[in-house]
Amino acid sequence: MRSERDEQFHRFVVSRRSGLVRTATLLTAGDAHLAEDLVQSTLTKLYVAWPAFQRADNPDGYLRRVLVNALTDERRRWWRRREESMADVPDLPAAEQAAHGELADGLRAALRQLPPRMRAALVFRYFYDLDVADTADALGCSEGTVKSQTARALDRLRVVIGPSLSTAHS
Amino acid sequence: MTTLRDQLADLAGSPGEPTTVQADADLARGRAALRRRRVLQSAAGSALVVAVAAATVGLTTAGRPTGTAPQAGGTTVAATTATAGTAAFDLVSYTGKQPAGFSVDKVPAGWEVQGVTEGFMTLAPVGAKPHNSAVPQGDVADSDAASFVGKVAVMLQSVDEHGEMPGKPERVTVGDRTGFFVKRPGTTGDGVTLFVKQPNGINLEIQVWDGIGWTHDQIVAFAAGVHVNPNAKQGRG
Repeated sequence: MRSERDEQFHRFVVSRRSGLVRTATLLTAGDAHLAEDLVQSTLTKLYVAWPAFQRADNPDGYLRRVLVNALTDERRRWWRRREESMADVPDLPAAEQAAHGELADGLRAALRQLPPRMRAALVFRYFYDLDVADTADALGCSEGTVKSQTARALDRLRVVIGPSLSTAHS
Repeated sequence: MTTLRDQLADLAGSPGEPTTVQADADLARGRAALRRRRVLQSAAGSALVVAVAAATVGLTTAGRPTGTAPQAGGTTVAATTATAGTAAFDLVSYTGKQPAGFSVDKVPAGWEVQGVTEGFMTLAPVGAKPHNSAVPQGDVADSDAASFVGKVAVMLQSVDEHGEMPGKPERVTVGDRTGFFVKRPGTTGDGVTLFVKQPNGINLEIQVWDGIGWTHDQIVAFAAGVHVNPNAKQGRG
């Protein structure tokens, strides 16, 4: 029997999971399997902290923090990722295989060379158009750190992709 | 010109709408995690009562110092017999219950066995606090035995690695066995792994988070007292 929390969470998953998978795919530099792990981990954390999430002044900001922390947590289990064994749950990546073109491959390779939090800063700033303050909030760091991290991330991307890299914020 | 945003959008892909099965599975995972948390909180609360009672007895009873530490699984660590070692790394006898896959003769002073299952054993500094997912963790150990940040983790090498050691193994002697230190590829800054050869051919794996500052010699000294029990199980992945 489902509780009110269960019902709310289920509705949340149905409405937001696809977006989470997209974000997670970027945060994991296009690793669909790791992205699915990240989404599962994020949603699990969210369910456990559901009352706090419901009370949050900025639910989207809360969600981003949980996502980033789950991303960081993946490093915690650096020997392997432990899976909870679940009956009858297909362990398949939900994300479609992303574009295989030369550009996508180059970007994927470039992103993989970035530390996860630097990658997250880049994604939040240049894909989701978050301002520096919201990005800093998601990453739990100072605004100055966001600026320096994104600048370094762009520099490193340009090394791989080339000087033609264009951003909406440059 | 293709902008970075366009490229990121391509990379993000277009995941379809979640299926009911997926949403149900997410819900099941969440509920299971919440149940585990409540059980752990309950066990920690009970253990705290035991620890307080033990401390009270200790205060009212003359004799040699005795310490107890709460354990999530209801086991207790009694660190009593200090042995030779460096000032910062005194290995002390571990006398707590060790019912699962691994056991250990000694632990460094100030450390405790945080959890032991058939799949792994985690050692953490005494007094680790619960992880707050809203606060960046950095290298600080938390009370979740399944997290290895800031800790030492003991396990068997993954069945999927077929005994092959990644990276460039550095041979050492661990007690009467052969060991190899390995820095796993792609884990820069995360830690170092010591593999210890076992008679059955399945390597014992001891992973040490970089931030905790154990030297290779100290890791070897600790590893010499680690035992793989018959019910230990290899993980996958």
